Amino acid sequence: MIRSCAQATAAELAKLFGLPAVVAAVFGTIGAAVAITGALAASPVGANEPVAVVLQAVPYLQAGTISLGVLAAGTEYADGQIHRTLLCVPGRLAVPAAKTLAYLAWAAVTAVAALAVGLLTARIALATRDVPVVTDGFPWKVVGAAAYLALIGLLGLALAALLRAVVSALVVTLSLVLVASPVLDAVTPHARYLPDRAGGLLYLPDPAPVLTPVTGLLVLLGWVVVIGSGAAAAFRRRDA
Amino acid sequence: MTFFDTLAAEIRKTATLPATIVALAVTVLGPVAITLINAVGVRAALRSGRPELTAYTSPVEAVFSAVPLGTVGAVVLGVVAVSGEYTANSARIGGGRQITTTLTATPSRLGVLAAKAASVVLLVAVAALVVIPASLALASGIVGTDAPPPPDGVLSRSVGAGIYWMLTALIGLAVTVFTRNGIVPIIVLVVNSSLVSVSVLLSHLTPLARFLPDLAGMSMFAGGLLAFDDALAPVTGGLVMVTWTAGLLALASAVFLRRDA
Repeated sequence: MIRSCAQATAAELAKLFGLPAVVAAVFGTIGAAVAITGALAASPVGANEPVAVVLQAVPYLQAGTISLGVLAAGTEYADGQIHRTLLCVPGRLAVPAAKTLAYLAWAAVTAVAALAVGLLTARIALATRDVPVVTDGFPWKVVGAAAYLALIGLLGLALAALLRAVVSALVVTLSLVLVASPVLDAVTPHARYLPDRAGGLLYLPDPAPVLTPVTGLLVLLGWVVVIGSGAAAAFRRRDA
Repeated sequence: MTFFDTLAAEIRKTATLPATIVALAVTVLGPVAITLINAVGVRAALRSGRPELTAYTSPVEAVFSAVPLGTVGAVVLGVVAVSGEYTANSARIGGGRQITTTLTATPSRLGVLAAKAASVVLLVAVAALVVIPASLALASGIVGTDAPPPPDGVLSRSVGAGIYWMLTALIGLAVTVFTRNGIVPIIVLVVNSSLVSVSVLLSHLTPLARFLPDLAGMSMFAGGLLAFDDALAPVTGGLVMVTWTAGLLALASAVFLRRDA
């Protein structure tokens, strides 16, 4: 079981590496990190500290990992690739598990690379503005931001597996995270239980201490687990 | 084939795409749902005598703050109208693309593009005509007599929001003609119509950013909700956005005319 799962994961990793769209999403996210941290560091609204600048860029970068997650699951359905996948790996739980692991590996690398490059860019951009750079200890919030980026993309992967289409999964996830959540947050305090608000506590300070970073992480994981197990159940029951 | 035949064909094609149903549902139900939640929040804040709890107290603002969700629907509509033509069928049934059939049936390339643009504008206009009056009625019905007197220019802002949706859909259509694939335009345009918009970020760097299509167009309906200073006047902003849209459509027509399908 473990051996076949490992082989399936290796296969999924190879598939993701061979998808031009996934590679484009990875490099697009890293490129966007450079451009956005550069712009934030140069603008008056940006913070005067590299770590804070990078954390301000995370809401933009989440579009990158969401695209990565949606592409990882959604492209299986574009041209019947899922039939070949299930011929090679008949385990209907092994395939989603392997896909999740392969996605997480890719997303972790992407998030860490984007945040590291963003830190470097912010540092250089702030140095050109002659802002004294303060560094105090290890930036744990950046680690939280990387975890958040990988998990919010996992939500996109689960929705893509449920909807079996790239475009609709992209639209649903991006408009939930980027459009509906800020609009709802302006009106109701219950918006703090939305996946991006709760998960955002991993890298943002909490303005109203109802959720802590740990409970926020649990809320985000709860969203991922509910949608993901719905997708896994649908994958087991539905014809491919 | 006359232009009206082409237009009828394009309307039928666009309106029966599965993604169009989703896009229209997002455009119609999204703003109505957000308006509902906004208006209930505003009413609760007004009744409890603490209007500072919400960012605004007018039912009209509750409607216009929900416009971005309709923009997402408009983007999807404009993008899938073109990207649906280029999506390859399953290999089991030949792997063909609809664009070859379309251009065989209607060899006039400009006619096809014009009919596509017109059908997208019509669909968005119908959605806007339904959703904006419905949201306004819903919000004022919920907030009721507690509401402060409505601000000026509700009608012109409603029309502006509808025009903004149509122009956004046309920009999505034009960009998808360049890319011939819906994924990149959807990511870029949905991200940019959200609050973490790259245009808003640029507006902090240079005052020229207010001439970007989305920021210029938002001045048509946003009123005091706009997140940056020295925005253009509504009519000027609308004209700037129209110029962008016309320019992008002209480029898209040139590309569509010259390139192999």
